[in-house]
Amino acid sequence: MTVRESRVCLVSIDIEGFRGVNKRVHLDFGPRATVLSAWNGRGKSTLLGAIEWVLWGELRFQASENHTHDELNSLFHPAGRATVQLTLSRDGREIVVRRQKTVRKRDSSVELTDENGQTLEGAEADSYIYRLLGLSFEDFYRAAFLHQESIRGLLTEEQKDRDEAMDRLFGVERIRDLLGAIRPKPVTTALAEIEASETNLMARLAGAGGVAEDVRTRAREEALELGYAEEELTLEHGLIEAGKLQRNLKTACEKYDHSEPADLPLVALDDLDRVSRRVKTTITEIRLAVGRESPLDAALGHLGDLRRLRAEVDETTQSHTQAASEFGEHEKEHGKPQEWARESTGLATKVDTAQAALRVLDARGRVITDALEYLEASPAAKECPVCGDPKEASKLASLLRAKVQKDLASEIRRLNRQVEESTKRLNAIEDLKLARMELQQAVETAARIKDETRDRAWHAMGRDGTAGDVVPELERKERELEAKLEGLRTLNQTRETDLKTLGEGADRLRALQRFLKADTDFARVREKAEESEGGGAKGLEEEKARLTTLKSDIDAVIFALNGLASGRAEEALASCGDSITQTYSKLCNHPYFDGLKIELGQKAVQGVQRNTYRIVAYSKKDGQRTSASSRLSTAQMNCVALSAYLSLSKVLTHNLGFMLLDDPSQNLDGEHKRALASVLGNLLPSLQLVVGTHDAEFDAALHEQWGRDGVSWYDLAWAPREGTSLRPAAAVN
Amino acid sequence: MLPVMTDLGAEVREALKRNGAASSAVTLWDEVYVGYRQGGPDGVTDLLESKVGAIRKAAKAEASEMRAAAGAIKKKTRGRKR
Repeated sequence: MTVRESRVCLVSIDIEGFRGVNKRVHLDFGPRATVLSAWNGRGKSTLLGAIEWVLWGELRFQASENHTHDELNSLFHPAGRATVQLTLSRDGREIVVRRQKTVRKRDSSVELTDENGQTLEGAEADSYIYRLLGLSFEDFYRAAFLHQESIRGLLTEEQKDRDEAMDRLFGVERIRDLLGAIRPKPVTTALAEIEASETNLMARLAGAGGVAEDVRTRAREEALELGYAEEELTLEHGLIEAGKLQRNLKTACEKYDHSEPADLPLVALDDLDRVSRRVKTTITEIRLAVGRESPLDAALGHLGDLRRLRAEVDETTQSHTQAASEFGEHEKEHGKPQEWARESTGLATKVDTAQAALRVLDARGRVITDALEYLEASPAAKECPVCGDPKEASKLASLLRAKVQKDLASEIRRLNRQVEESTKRLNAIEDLKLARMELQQAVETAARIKDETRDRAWHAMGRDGTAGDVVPELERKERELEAKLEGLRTLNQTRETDLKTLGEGADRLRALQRFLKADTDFARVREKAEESEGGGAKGLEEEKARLTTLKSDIDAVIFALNGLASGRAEEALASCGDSITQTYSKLCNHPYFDGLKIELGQKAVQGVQRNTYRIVAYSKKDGQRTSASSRLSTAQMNCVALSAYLSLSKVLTHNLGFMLLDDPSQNLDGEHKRALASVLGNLLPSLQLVVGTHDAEFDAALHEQWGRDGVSWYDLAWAPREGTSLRPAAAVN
Repeated sequence: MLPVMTDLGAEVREALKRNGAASSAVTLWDEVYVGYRQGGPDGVTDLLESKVGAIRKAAKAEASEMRAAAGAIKKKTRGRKR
């Protein structure tokens, strides 16, 4: 049995519904090697990835499509199920691993049949694989799967990426992760914050101490002013006083017909304040109740009403008397209506007589006027046109004119004067009648108002319908009420005195409570300030000490991890350093820089020491050194990466007897490809290789150097819906 | 030859003891390693943040007590005459 046969080797694989493979594909691995040739996109990486997935259940360098990793399922598989079955062998006995995953399901299921035909599932199967292969998923990449992504970091100019890739190659990846995750900065930040907070609080406490003392002093003075003795400024005394105050309050409630409040418990300082507030509230309630139903106020109101009524009675009586007096005066001065009636009758007759005489005079006047007109028209007439007496017209006209001017006019004036005077007197009599009537109405109104007022007064005294003089009765009633008011005033004064005493008791209790609270606050501030000043285990010191310890522990862990990281890298370089140089010389065949060395250093990143690597190319002949990345081409750097990877994979201890290489010839020229085929060929006695390549030149070099003995050659094809298919490759001449 | 399946937890523990670290550091490492295995680097960060957070919380409570003691004191005028 060869060394390789004692390790785990690949026998065959069946793939269906996995990524680009839709229909079932069966592949028998060659005992020495298997070469998968195809253009890009035909499924080489899928076939190699299927080996990774069936063993570990995940693909390291595959981006996730969604949280259920549906990128692992073929788009066209009818059942949406990816199935990979890998047959391995160790010591000539077969082990079959089968993994399945359904689309839209996050987890895959694994089943394993071991060398003895026993079937294991799930975690048991995973555990078996772990023990069988003798390495972890991370180690799988640096020991058995040369993936372009895993060496890409070695080719980059970025020091950080290169250091990370080298760490991964040397198995320090987990330590690097841990060093990245264990950050001391949050601890130092928290420590600084607590220290700042402590300083600030110390200053505040110092200030508060002064204020507290001041408040305490003033509260003490106030309590002493209210009659407390120094030794009475205690909670015990306050509780006794609060008890007394509660009892006094109950007595007052009983006395003044107010609902009695339930006793408050008397235990703590705040109870003093509660009792004090309760007393104050109850006093207000009693006062409000008294205000709502006050007999004193009612009596005062009644007395006021009676006094007002008495004044009204006086006033209406006076008004009535005055009206009656005015009426009498009028009668006395102007006589009575009967006299006015007699005078009026005489005056009316006089007016009628005068008016009749005036009418006669008017007729006479018109006759004389007509005669005068006639005489003026007939100046030769010799007789009177009325009586026919012989008279000369001119004489008669003169006579008539004199008559009119003298006798007739004088009589008319006299009669008119007589009518005028009589009419005036008649009008005056009418005015007197009107005035008398008004005065009479005033007397009647005043009498009515007086009666009404008196009735109201009797009514106010509760004696409706009573006749007689109301004023003396009102005065008697007022005297009665004044006497009653005096009694009520005394009662009111007593109540106010009681309530005031209670209120003062509450104020005293409150003053004592304020002092005791100020005293407690002062003591607490002083205690806190002393604790902080004194340091030790109290205050924020305890938290500071815990953070300091945590920081110290973190530093110790980082130091230990860092020591391990550098130790492992050193060990790896010591184990494979020479091999790297030799492989590099064979692969790269640089005309001048024919030697290669990887130098390990340390660099602080965010306060944590980490491994850093310098890849140095040198001339074996002249000893000239240079940074590989600055002098070598991409193809030559790829040779550097391949050298490091292949050299390291040889010295790692695990149970794998195979190695997967996905497109290892990238960027290489023809000479490099032939050199790589040769280097890989040298591994064949100890390792079973599986190579995927799209490079015809490299494929030809492999054919040339590996031959067909024990080597399986496959060409891959791909068609929509069917996916990848395999066929044995033709021999290359 | 280089071993691959090493027990990192035990290795670090041994290194800590070799370096003379305090027992609290070893305990911390055990917790960190459990956190890493369960939650990766985020698990470790969460663990340490929770530890620092717990201390911060305690410090905050203590500071709050001190602040309350200082803040309860305010300048007061004499009581109102009633």
